[in-house]
Amino acid sequence: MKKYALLLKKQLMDALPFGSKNSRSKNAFSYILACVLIAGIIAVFVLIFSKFTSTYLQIKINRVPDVAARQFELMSVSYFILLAALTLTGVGQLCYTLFDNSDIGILISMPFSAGELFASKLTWVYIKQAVLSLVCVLAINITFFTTAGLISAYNVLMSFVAALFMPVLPLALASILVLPYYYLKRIVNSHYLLSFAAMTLLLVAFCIVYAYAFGIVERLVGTGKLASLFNEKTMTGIGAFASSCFPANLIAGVMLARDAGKNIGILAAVILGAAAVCITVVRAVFFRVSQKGFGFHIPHIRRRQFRFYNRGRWGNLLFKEFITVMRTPSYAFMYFATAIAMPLMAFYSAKLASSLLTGLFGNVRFGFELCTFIVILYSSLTNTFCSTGISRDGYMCMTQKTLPYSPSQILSVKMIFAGAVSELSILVACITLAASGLESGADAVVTFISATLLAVAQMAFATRLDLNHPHFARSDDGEIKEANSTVSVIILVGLAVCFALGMLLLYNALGSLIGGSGAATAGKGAGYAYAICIPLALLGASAAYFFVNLKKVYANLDAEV
Amino acid sequence: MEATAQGIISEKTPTIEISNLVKQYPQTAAPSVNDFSLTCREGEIVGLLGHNGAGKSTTLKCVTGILPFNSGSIKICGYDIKSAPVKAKLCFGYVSDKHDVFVKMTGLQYINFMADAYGVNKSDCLQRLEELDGLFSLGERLNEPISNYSHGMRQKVCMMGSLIHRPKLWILDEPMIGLDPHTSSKVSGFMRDYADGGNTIIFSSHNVGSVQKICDRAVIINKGVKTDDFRLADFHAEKGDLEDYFLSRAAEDAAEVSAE
Repeated sequence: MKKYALLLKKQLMDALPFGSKNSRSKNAFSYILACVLIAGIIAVFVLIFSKFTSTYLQIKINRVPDVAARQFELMSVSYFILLAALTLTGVGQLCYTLFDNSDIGILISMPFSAGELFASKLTWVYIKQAVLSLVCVLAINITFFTTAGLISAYNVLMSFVAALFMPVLPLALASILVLPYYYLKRIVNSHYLLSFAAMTLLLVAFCIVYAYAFGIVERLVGTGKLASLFNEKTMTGIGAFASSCFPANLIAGVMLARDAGKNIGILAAVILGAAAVCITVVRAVFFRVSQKGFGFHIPHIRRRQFRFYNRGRWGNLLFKEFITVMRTPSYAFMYFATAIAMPLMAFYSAKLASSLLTGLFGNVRFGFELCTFIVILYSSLTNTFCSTGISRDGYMCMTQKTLPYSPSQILSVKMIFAGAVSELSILVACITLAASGLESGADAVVTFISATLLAVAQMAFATRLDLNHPHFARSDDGEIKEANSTVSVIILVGLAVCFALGMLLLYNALGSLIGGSGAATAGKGAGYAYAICIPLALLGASAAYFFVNLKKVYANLDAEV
Repeated sequence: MEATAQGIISEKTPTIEISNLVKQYPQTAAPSVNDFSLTCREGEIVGLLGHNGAGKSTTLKCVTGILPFNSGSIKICGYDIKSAPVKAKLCFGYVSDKHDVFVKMTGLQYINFMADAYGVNKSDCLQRLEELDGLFSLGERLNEPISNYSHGMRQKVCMMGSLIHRPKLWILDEPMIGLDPHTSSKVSGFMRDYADGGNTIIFSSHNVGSVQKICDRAVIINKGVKTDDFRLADFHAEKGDLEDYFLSRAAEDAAEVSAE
């Protein structure tokens, strides 16, 4: 038991910012930033979910309201989505714990029994899942019960109980899925064309879901009603799904205090069964991995013939960046998928915001200001991939220093690669916005210039920040899975700058419209000036930050410190 | 004269010339390498010997440009690593003790990357690859991503990549760790042939046996200071076994420390 507690404590210390004195403040800062971002996401979720809940509960079928049925449907579907999400994260957590975390290899040679190692690892996975579950369940339940006017001590207590036990069910399913997932991941990682195809499929699915979700939000915001979306046929389908989506429907029943005793009994039995499945399967895999290894051999095309491609020195570095990104699914998704999806997200957001502002200010047009605000905002979010440009080379960045490339060559190739992807997505976004009439052609050109200047400024700032504080991957695959303060800083600074500039543009447009047509013309010119001059000044500041002591900092870059 | 993969070395130019090198890591009381000087010429195989933390790897990292240093100078084939780093780097190939490679590339892509980095043309590249594959025997596995490779295979692909431009100077940090006995023996033979071809090899090692077997010259470092530098042929005639000598020096050092 003592050793189990020791192992659990080690994992806790690794995960929380209680490391060495030197890294403590840096880690604490990144955790605070991450907490601020999570709080922001929860706040946005609460806002949208409360609005959706109040609208959904009012839906009538054949002009007959049935609030109790709507409550059950909404809760069942919400828990079902949460269980699905916990299953996905559970698969990821188990995969990391069983296969990717190199500390098993060290710990197994120490005087710990395999059983103690297994128990501590599984407990740690469960704790992480329970924390995630607690945050999600509380956000869903408190928003729902407050909006529905059902908040009580029972609901709050049951929310905590549910959050504690709910992760067991997805973990059982995840334990069965983890081996096929690991095998699939190895295959996809080894074949980048396959990786690209998988990513494209995911992207198409995302675009469909995104367009559909935005359609709902647009109607919800525009009319306050969802009647046209949730017609009788759809509602019958939702009702049937809600009553059969086991075990989410049972959890909803417990939360709404309907057949609570019976549902708790069934759920307790299911959770016990799931726990037994999870422990049995994970134990079997864990013992195999820790004692014999679990090396899958991924078949590859056998060619004795060697082919060479002369890419030139610059092309060579670009190819290296491309391969590194393409063969790391999370980076590939960050780079390509988000950049490709950005124009679509910008278009729907601009359309939604435009209809919102039209509702507020009548026929007043904020095309340029709104589109610029939205494009720079999405662009800054997609550009966060450049905040790991140095770190993702891992320890190879040290050997790379021995190659006949200057620091500026290595860093500029990284920025060119990121910039090419970013610029293309900004260009497509601006063309889409202009073609859809949300802003004029001239406006779109200024939007493009503004977003380009900000994107380059952000990349220079992010690359230098990463060079100053690299966060090298601990795992062999070179993927950075740990919390990274650079990413959080880049997201927060990006959001702050975009909101400040966007609000300034909208304020300027509104003020000039109040002043009449002359003021409107002058206001437009001022808007153009703000949209170009402020990003230009930021680019200057960012470039200065990038170049100061660049050679010295690059020479001092040491992965082993 | 221009720097090429073959360097600008002439008979008078040392392949590597380290003068009064001092390297101190931040937040350490003493320098890791102190007033270290070394000159190596073509045809030499030089072994850097020392216990853990003696300063061998730090010296090699300063030589290759991985780490900045506080004072002194390092010239590779006549080029200063600080003022002409790219030209200096064109003259050597480096194999790290951690076998760092881009694991997302296949073995072949990695060697292709290294060849392009040093500007090797396609026909030379193919010819050299065939020769190197004869030595390291990775064969069809070169078409697999390096992430699938074992420790020893990574070491082999690192060595292949570092030799694809036929560097005038081959620098290796603990090269024999991870290699199977058969490959280790083949690499030892290759090192001799490579040095005999007019190139220089410098490597660090804990293994006195491998230094004794392969090297022309041994340099012993202790606490960052060069304590011995001798030709092994002369040493054997005068002092006998290198391992006995190395261990006796280590014992003397330990006695000095305890006396202090």
